[in-house]
Amino acid sequence: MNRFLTLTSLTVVLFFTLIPLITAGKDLEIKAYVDRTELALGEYFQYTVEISGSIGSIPPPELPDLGEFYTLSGPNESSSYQWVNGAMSASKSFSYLLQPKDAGEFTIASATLKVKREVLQTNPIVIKVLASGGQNQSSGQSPQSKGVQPEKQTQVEGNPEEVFLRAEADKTTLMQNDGVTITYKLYFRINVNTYEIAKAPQATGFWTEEHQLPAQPVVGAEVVNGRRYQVAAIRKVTLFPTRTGKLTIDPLEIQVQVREKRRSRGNDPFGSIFDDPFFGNTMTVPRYVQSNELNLQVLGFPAEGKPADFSGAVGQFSMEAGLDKDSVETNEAITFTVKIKGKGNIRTAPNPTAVFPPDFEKYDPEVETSTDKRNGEVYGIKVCKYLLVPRFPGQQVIEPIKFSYYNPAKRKYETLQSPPFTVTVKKGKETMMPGGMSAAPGKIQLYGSDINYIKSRTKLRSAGAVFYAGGMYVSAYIVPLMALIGAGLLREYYMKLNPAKVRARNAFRNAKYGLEKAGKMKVSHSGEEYYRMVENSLRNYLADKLNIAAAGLALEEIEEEVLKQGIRQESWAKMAVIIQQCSMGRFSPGNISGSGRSKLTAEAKDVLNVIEGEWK
Amino acid sequence: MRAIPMFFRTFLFILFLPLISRGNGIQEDEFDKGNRLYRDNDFSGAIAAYQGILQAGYESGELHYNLGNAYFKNGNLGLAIVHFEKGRKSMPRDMDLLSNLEMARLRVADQVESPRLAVWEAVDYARDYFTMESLAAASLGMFLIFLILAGIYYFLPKSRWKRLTFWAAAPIFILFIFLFSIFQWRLWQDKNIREGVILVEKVDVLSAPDERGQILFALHEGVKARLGQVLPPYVEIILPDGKKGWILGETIIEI
Repeated sequence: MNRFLTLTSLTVVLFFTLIPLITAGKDLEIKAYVDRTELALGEYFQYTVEISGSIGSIPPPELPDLGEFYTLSGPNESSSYQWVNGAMSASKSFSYLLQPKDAGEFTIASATLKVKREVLQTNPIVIKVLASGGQNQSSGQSPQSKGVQPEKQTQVEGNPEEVFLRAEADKTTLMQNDGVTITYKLYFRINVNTYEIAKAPQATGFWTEEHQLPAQPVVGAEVVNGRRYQVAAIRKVTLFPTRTGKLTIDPLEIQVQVREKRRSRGNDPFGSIFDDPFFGNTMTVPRYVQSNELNLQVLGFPAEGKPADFSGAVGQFSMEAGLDKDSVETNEAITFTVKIKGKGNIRTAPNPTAVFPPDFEKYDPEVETSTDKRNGEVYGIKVCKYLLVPRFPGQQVIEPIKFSYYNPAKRKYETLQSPPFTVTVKKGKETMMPGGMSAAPGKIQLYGSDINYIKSRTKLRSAGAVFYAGGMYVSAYIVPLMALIGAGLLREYYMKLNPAKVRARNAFRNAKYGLEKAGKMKVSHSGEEYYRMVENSLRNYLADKLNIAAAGLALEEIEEEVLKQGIRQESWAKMAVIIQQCSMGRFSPGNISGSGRSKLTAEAKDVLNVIEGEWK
Repeated sequence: MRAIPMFFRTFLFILFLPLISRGNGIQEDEFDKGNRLYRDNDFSGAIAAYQGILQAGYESGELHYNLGNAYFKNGNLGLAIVHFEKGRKSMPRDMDLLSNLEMARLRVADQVESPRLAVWEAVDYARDYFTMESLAAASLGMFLIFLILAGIYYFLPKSRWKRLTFWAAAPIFILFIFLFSIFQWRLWQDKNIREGVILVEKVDVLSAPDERGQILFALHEGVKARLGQVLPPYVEIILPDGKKGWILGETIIEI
């Protein structure tokens, strides 16, 4: 009994297990259908051929000629596999969006499927195309849309998972100045028309290099959480952090134009399920999508093995250095070029340290930097041109140029070094540079900038004791001045006691005054008056000088006395002649002309000055 | 008449007595001690030694110069500038001092530029080319020489020499007027224009002598400014470019 039962159950199990094998290829089914059979010209319908069966692979069907329709889209294949109660069933559908070319009735011929000499066929479908209309969107024969009530309320609905933006960094822990490449990818399962960046993150603490992406994003496919998404990279940047620590990259926000279906919200329970985008019931709406935030851990430069000239270059570099000429005359410019090439933060990398001979006049380098972004990496070239003017002849050596950088791939510092360069400087013509830039020969180069050394000796004096501040200093002016004035006054006083001296001293002044007066006499004055004035001036002068009475002064009598005073004979004779000329003129009847008068006056003045000068 | 030059000679000797007189030996030893400490890089020790001499009432250009150097090396930029400026009054043409003063000024965070014509710079240079002592002595000397020449001219009997003295006295008189004016100008400046140097690292300059005054700008150690009114504890400062304000008196030291 027990044994029988076992057998029976075994047979049953075997039977059921074998069913799929037996039925394979037998229950293949093909059907064709459209979503509506009556439409207006200009509208479109969906035509689907569906093959289902319980075999693994479904052969492609032979589709009918669709020459009477515009194919808007298709064939869109979709497959599904199911495993129900141990039986596998597969279905494959081919769908087309078709638009009639003309009005009228059209028949879509049968689709055929050949399987193992068996031919399966679908029914032909008749499509009725109306010449006019098309406004009535619910005129379709589709039973699903019949119950749809006129739209009362439409609403755009977005499933947040239909479209999203993701920021991906190629690394999250990196060295300062090392580049991190961030790719912003747009994932979408709905129709996205365009996008634009609404808010780019503020890249504080970073040096940003933006990568060029094709204007039409390349769309790929990716499965996220079991869902298949279309993916397009829309932005790619390389960031070079300029400081250490935890750095956050803010989200990128973009606006996408999404083709959404409009859904009527009403009492219709089927509305939301059976609304079909192909009924033309769609619209384009903007939607904002935000990426995730990224956190980066930026490390400082390791102290170990850090070269002295390292100042922040990170990457992989190579260096070339060279002179445009190695033989030059003094005061002629040469150009020393250093090229740093490679991958890394070339823009923020420091210039290489160049040490030139002190006899070279050097100018700030002309630096040109260009970058090239390929495959998400930033390559660059930095060209530093140093203009040098040798001032002195001789063999000048430019020390090797050094450039140190940190290689993140090898995790160590590397130093590039050029060979030393020798420049032969010949004595050239001495030319003055404009603006006096020419260094004077033998001018000492100042290397340091320390203050001058202290003085070792001094003469200290009492503070605040300045000799010019007190009355002592003022009296040093006043006392001598007063002494001098006093002495002068004293002298005047004693002079007054001796009238002869006073007379002699005033003699010249009085005589000069008299002659001036004579010289100013108008022609209206008689000649007698004029001659008298000149004669008296000179006579009185002699009388005053000798302290004798002027009246009755005889020239012959005083001649000896006058000559004793040191007067030369000829000077005295000149004076005597003028005096005699005047005595004679006084008694002559005629007048004397103006020119004659001025000549005589001038002569009289001359001789008076000579005599006064010669008088002891 | 020969008694007059004799009288002047005696007079001049009395006049310059303070210049010739020296500080006593103890102070000179202190100076050497300060120099030794400076050489051993003990700048605060050197400062103490030099300051001791100043406290005792003695000074010299070299002392201020060395003290300025010590302050500079010790990091007291403001005091260094004060003593360089003080030393400059005694030795205005000392190249070491002028270059150190310039070096110190370059370290000052605020470089106050005054818009001035080159002519005025030249006038300032000429004015400060001499010490007050030499200006005072030179102007007095010129005056006395002029008096002597005038005396000779007046008292000498008529001769060739008499004429010569007249032509010699004229340029000397012009020179005397020039030196005397500069001297008087400097005296006026010393009395009326007071200058100070900021001693603290940073000081806020207020619009009024009141802690509620608005902060106009900030000055840093070593800035030289003219001092205006004093309303304790505040003092008014005037910068060469004309900016004015009030700061706490304790933040500035007068040169």
